[in-house]
Amino acid sequence: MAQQYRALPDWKYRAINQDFWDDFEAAMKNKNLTAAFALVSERQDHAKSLERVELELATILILQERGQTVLAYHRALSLMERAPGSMPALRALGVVDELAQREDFDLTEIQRLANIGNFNEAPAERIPLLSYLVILENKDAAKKKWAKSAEPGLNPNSYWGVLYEIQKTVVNLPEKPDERDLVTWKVLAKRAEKFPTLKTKMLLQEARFLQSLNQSKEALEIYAALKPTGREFGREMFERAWNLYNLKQYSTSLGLLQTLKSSSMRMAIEPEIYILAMIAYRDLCHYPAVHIMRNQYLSVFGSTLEKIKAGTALEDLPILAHLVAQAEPWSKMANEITLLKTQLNALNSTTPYPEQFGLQLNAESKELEKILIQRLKLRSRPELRRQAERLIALTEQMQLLEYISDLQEYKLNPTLDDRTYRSEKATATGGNGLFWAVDGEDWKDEFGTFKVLVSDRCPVRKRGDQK
Amino acid sequence: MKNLIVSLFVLISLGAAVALADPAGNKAQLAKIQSSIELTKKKIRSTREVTFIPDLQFVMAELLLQKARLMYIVKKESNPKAKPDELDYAAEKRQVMEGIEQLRLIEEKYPNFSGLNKVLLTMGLELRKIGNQEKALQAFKRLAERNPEAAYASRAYLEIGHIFFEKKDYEFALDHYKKVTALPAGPSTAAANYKAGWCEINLEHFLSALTYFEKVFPESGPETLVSEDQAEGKKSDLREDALLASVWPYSELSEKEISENPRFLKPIEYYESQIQDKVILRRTLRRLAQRLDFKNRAREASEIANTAFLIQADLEESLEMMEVVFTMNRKAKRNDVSVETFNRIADNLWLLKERRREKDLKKYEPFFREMLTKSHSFALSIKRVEDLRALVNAYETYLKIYPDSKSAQGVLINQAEAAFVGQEYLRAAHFYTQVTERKIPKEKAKEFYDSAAQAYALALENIEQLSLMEKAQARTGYRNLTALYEKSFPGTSNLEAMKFNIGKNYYDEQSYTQATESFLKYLAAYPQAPHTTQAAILLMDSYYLQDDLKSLLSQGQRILGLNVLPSTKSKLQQVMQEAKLKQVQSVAGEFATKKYAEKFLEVAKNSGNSSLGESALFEAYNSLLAAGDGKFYEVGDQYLSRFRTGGHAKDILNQMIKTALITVELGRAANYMLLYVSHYPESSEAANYKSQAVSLMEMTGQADEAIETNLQNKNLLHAAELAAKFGRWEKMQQISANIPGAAGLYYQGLGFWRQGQKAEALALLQRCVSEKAETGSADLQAHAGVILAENQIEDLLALQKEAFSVPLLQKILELSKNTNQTLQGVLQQQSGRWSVASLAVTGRLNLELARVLSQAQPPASLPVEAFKKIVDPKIADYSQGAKAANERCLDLSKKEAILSDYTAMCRTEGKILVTEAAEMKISPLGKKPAVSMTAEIRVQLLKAPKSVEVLKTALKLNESEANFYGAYAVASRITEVDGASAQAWNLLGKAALKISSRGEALTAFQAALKIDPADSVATQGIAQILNPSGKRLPAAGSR
Repeated sequence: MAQQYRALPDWKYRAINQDFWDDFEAAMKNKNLTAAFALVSERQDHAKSLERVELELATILILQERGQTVLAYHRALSLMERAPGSMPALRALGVVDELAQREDFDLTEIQRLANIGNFNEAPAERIPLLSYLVILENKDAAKKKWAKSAEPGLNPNSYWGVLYEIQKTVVNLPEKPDERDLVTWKVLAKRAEKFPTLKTKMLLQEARFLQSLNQSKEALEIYAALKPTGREFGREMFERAWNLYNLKQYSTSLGLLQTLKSSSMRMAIEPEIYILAMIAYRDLCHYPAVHIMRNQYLSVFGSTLEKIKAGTALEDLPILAHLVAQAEPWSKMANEITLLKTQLNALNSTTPYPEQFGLQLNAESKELEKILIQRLKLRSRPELRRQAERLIALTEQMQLLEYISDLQEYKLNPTLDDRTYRSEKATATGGNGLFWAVDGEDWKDEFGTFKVLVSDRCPVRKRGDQK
Repeated sequence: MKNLIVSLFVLISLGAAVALADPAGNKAQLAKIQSSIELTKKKIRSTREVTFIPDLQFVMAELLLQKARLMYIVKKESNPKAKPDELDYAAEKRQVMEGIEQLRLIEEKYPNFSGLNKVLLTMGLELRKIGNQEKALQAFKRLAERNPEAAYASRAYLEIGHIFFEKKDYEFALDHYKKVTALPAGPSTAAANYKAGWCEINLEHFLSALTYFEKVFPESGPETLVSEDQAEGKKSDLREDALLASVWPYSELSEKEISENPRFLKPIEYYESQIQDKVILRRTLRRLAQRLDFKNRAREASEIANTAFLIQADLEESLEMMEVVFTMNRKAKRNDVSVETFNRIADNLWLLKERRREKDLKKYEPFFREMLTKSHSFALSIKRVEDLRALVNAYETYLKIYPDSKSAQGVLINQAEAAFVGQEYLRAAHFYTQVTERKIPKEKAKEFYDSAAQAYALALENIEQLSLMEKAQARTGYRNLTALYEKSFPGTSNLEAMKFNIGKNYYDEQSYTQATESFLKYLAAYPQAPHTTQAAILLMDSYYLQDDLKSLLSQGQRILGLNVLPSTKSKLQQVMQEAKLKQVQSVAGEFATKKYAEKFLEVAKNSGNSSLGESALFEAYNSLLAAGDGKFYEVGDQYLSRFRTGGHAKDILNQMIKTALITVELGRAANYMLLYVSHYPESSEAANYKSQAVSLMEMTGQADEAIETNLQNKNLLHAAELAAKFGRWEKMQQISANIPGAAGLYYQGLGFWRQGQKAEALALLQRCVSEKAETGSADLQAHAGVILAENQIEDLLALQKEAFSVPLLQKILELSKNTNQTLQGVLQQQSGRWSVASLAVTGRLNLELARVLSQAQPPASLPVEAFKKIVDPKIADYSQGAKAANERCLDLSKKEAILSDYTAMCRTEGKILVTEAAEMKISPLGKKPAVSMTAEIRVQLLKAPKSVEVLKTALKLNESEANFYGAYAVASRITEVDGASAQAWNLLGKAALKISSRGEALTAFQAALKIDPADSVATQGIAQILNPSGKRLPAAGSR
């Protein structure tokens, strides 16, 4: 059987070479990775086929322990494919499961391996992952009954059981969720609490719910508790800026947007920040700033836009690639590539590997990076197109926004209500310029303290004025 | 003592586990077992409690058998290179014999031992293993005769079955398997069903074999069924074994068996419904494809292989399957490749590329290219948009995987062509442009530049179908291409149109400043070119839309000074004059009303397009309408053409629609409705008018207009339906190339069929039949099936012209099997008249087969009498089959009140030949479409819209002019105003018959009879409908 996995209760790894494995496990237990690695190196030249697979497993475990999780993950996948169903492969499945949960890695490869029928038994604790992958494989292929048959394998309290429940809930959410949906969400979030990656995702989503329910203050409280990194950091800042805008905290909102424009945030580049800034400036009747925003937008995205129009292959446009890398589910793959690069830099920083092996890992990391980039490019082609379409649409929207802003400027008495907003005082040194220069690389520590000093310039309509 | 026994069992079971999992420790384990044997021996000797002795002896027996097994393994391990027959296993066998002897002693000495069933079973199994089948059989028989609980009985019967199965005594083996299945279900039931299936295969009872295998396909999880070889260390899933085994009998089912068991009709659907597991489904389908290939059923084999290939597999297996698909498609001469198959090929090739398996990539290149090339010619011949688009994407994969291939350029050109024909004009333009960037001769390059320009032009023509990005790309691409073109081929004539289009593009995207610049440049360069007038008008309009009347007039004056043609000049002057009038109109006051029509017409004539003219014309219109003067249509039309956006245009249109409906001038009403829709597409009435207009055109026989309107409304399906109704075959075939799914395949196939393009038609209709059912597709798929079946009968009759031989007979029978299968498929659709048709055609098929056999000559070696003895029962069978089918046909049509010409064929037992073409009568168009009308009748109807007498006059008029659709429309109106009269319904019935609308005619006559049961006209009408005439078949034996 392939898609229906037989659970092996109380599964334990039975070594190919028991003596070697006992020594290896002892070294690992003592965190003596050098000794563990030496054991592997010693056997390397003498080992025969299945024992070599066991040595590979040992190397994967060392890499995992050393924090080279991307390499460990992909080596484990490769081992599973080479020696399907073997003892080392079943242990490697454990590595994949643990890392997929911890690092939120892309599941495409393991999904493929779990659905081709190369092995049919697995440790009981891995059945939830395998069942989840079977469901995933069958969810969109008009094979729902097959997906259904895998559901019993999902332990509802496991990571994959909870994740599946979350995904089902998301699918069933109405376009505009209400308070009841929020309550459902919070109940589910409680179940996800024990899994850090899921917990963060749930909180983020909750903040978005709150924003859509006009509870921006509560949403901001959640954002304050989150500690995002990389691309997520940019996205969350943008969402915070929206919430601050909703609360009419224009200075802080614009300050965040300004930070997002800095060169160090290139990875999290987002065209909509310019739109939000334009809306904010228009609200405050800073009409020339609306034009400046559009010009800034064009200076960043203009050349990409021109190339899209001229029919340049979309995969050759780096800005589009950045936009794709922020969109679900591609961000997972993109994050994996970024992490691989970070881990490559750290390769020899603590306990160095023997020179030869270090070189091999180096080359392997670079090769893997190429493969992952290629895969991302290949799979995300529709998303690339979607992002290009979005960019064109946003540019048109921006044109419209500029036009509306101009109209408003030329109106004698703009009818805006509750005009009480006043400029805030600067919290950091700097002039009273419209924009705060954020070019340094130390912005992250100061994040949230920068503000654009701007006050409401709209003339207040006096009581009794004609509309 | 009990503890001792338990510990011994634990030892044995541990030993077994270790022996299988850890070969290195087997020798040590053997020593442990030996010491256990010694220990047990001592215990047997020393024990005083007799009741435990048989238990201990049984433990002893099992230890001995375990030891034998370990010894065997150790010997094999110690001699890894030795062949099985080179080793001497006498010592091991002796251990087994010792174990068996222990068991025999227990049976002999302790006949009442509680574990005797287990003893007998173990004895039988061990005897079987060492090849002593006779003694094993005796042991199992004793076990069965002891009449123990069902579990042991069923195991004993199962083992006896196995022994006879090995002796190839399948009947006897089957008897024993049946005994197992007759007992309550237990662990042996599935294995018995499985083996029973194999017995039936060997006895060539294929349906029965399949039925046994089906009993092994339960839906339970993987824990339930493991095959009998588990003891040998070979684990396999019995369900999978049964599914794989079922392929053989499935492929051998006779047509009769299939028709009686419709679940077997579509193999893929059948296996999909049986299997819960993708991997097993993949393996089963693969096996089935191979089997059908072996049976020379290439088309079916290739279809199944393609489906199996789509199921995700390990790369190596998937590559293997890909090769199978390549080969089988080639064998089946199959050129239509699905999007999914192309995608799966792409997945495989990408994986090979990722793994840098250059050799394999190179190996598959020619296969992939061949598949693409064949699909290309096929897709171009049938022009199905979805096929062509899939092909474009497949080409993209090819070019990305093999960018440096020698064929890359050819593939790129093909890709451009496929995109162009597939109406992906923007992509086509990109691809053609890419071709121009390659190293090609200049004259060739020009050809591709032209193609790119044409593709861009078409993309821009249908710009509303493009996304925002595509719109921008189309416009920019076209501009860039024009610049390149001008640089490379400065003197070419195409440049004029291209430059004009650039201005028009700017105009269309509302970039009026750039548009005016472009048009001014164009007009200066081409004052007398084909697009000059249009460019001048668009230039003027660009100024007008910018509210820049000053520039409009000054630039207009400047252009008049250029060397433009008089026609351009006059148009330009007209536009300038209109602009001036608009200036006046904006300050013009209101005019008085209530004047006579003639006077206002005069004023309108003299006032041109001024607002005075507009008001005057409206007044004239109102006055004529009040007088009931039909001239008001003319004045109304005049108003609409001159003042399209005038304030009264909407009211006038609505009024004219209403009036035309009252005077039954339905064609006119439809035209006004369409005009209304084009003027006010956003209004609330637009949607309603749009559909009403089409219905009215259809009702009044304005076939081409109705089709065209549907096309404009982008309602391709309805357009195709109408084209089918009115027999516009070529049009229908073109339209349906853009309709996805079963419906598109049907209409396109039917179009080809009616035009005599048989090969294309049959390929499409076959695909239509195999397509998954969609809402409303049942009738279409059923009709397609009937066409295929009737065509197959024609093929069969054509074969009959060849000299008679046994292979020919086999060919005929194979063809008839396919036909029967097709007809069963039709019946499955449960589609009224086509179900009747399928039974009628089944009757015909049987009759033809009886005829073929009755005329067959015996082979030279066979005496006539002997031959007759073989053939006569078959002839009787077929004749009986024909009779049964005809009876079912009549029964069904009566029971379900189905109206079909085919009932005549059933009733006369094939003497009247009916074909699907006759069944699908085309509604004949009269001399004049739309409704004929005179001024006099119109005036009368305007005064008395519900006058039956006046309407009857109109009816007569239409009948006298042989305007049958017009008559039908008027008759419908009569039933609306006089629905209580039987005569009114009779008039409608007659009119409906004239346009071959038998269903409606029948309903009308039935309505008349409901009002007056003695109405003779209605009775005659119904009789006429139910007794259609047809061509007579030649009498049996006359061919």
